[in-house]
Amino acid sequence: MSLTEVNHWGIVKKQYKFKLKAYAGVFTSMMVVQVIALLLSLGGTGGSSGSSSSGFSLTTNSYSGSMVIAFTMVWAFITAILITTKAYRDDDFTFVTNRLTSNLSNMLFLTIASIIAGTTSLLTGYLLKVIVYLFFDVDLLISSSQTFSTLLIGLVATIMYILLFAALGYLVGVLAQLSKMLIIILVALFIGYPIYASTGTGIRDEPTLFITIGQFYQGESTLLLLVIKIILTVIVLFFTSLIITNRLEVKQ
Amino acid sequence: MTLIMQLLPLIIMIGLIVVIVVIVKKNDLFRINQMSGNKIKWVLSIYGIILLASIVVFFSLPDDEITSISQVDSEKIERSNQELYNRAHLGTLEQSKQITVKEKWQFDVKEQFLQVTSNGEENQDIIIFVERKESNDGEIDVVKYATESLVNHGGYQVELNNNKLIVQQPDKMDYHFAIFTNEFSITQFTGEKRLHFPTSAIEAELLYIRIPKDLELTGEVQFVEL
Repeated sequence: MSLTEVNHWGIVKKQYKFKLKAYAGVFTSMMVVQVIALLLSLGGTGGSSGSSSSGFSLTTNSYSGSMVIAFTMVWAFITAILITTKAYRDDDFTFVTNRLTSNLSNMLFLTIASIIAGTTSLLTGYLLKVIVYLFFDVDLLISSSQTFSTLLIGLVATIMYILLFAALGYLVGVLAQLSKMLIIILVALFIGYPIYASTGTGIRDEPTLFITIGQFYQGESTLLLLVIKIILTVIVLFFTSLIITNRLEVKQ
Repeated sequence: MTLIMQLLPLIIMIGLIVVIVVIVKKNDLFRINQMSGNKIKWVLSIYGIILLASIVVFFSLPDDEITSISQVDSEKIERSNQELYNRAHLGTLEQSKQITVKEKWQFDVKEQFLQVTSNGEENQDIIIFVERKESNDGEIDVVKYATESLVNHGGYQVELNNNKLIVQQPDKMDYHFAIFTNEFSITQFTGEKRLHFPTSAIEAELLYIRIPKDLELTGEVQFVEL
């Protein structure tokens, strides 16, 4: 029992502010990941070359920030797992806290981190294109239509994808808290299933389940619907994490 | 003025790099392991500034240096290239609007023998079509036809040297294109497909030669039967 009444939201806010400062290293790692992806993308993501019978040869290289976004998605996944680990978790007990506020502040942090990561990863793609423009010697620069509106669409969609992976990572991290066995099962599932499916013993020669899940998001051609799909998924993932952790003992 | 405009993106980037290096040196930011929250903030803000600057630079890149080509345009190039060859086989190049005469040569031949060669590598097919005239006027007409190409190059040149018609390849044969595409999180909504460029995008031209009726001709050419 405490003499001072505290409200949940105030604590969540306090913890979130603390996390934004204390986990600043998370953003340094994000920057490093994005710079590495940028350097790898300089080789051109997808290209072709051909020569004609009359001796002309043409090499084309495509440049886009897709790899940077993909790398950042992996970063978000790992970061989310990381902040559920013991070292980070115990930080919260320096505050007046319970599972709920600790979780909520983590989720708030992950959401803000996803917004930052989504924005920077999409913009890194433009940095890549500027570098190619300035320093690459090419005969012709061709650009698919890139306007301010495609930029805005890209921002929203990229942030959503990264948030999705962060939420997924958070759930995985929480499951890992429950039992180390679950980690092994999850790893087996995520690595074993595609291998099993590709051996031909499955129904088809490809991991159809993963493709179906991927298509659910990637096949969506309306931005609003994608946002709704992802937000609903994220709510389900976060809510599941909340329910699981509420069953845990304090400082387990 | 235009020179300054062209160099502007470069100047901005160099300026930014100088500013960053100065700040990093002043604050000794290279020792990342000892980086305090304040320094992280610095590094991240610089990163943010570079990204914002790059987007400003990207959207202010001069339009005339970046070609905007859709899949439709790319297919159109392929189609008019096909048309070039089809019409050459039929001898109806003059009737097309997409095909233009790029260059013309006329040579007098004294003997009854002509060899067509090229200065390029062996076993290379230069696309040459030959049509026999109805009379023996002692003249060879060479016409270079072309469709719209994505890059401007001089193309093949022709010269006559002692019964030898020599086709000279352009100096530059290798071309490199860079394509800026949107990220997957954008193409998902815009529905754009990956741009594909056929080699014909750079070499859409052929030589069409009219020779006197009884001239004997050797070399890798295709005769047009009218």
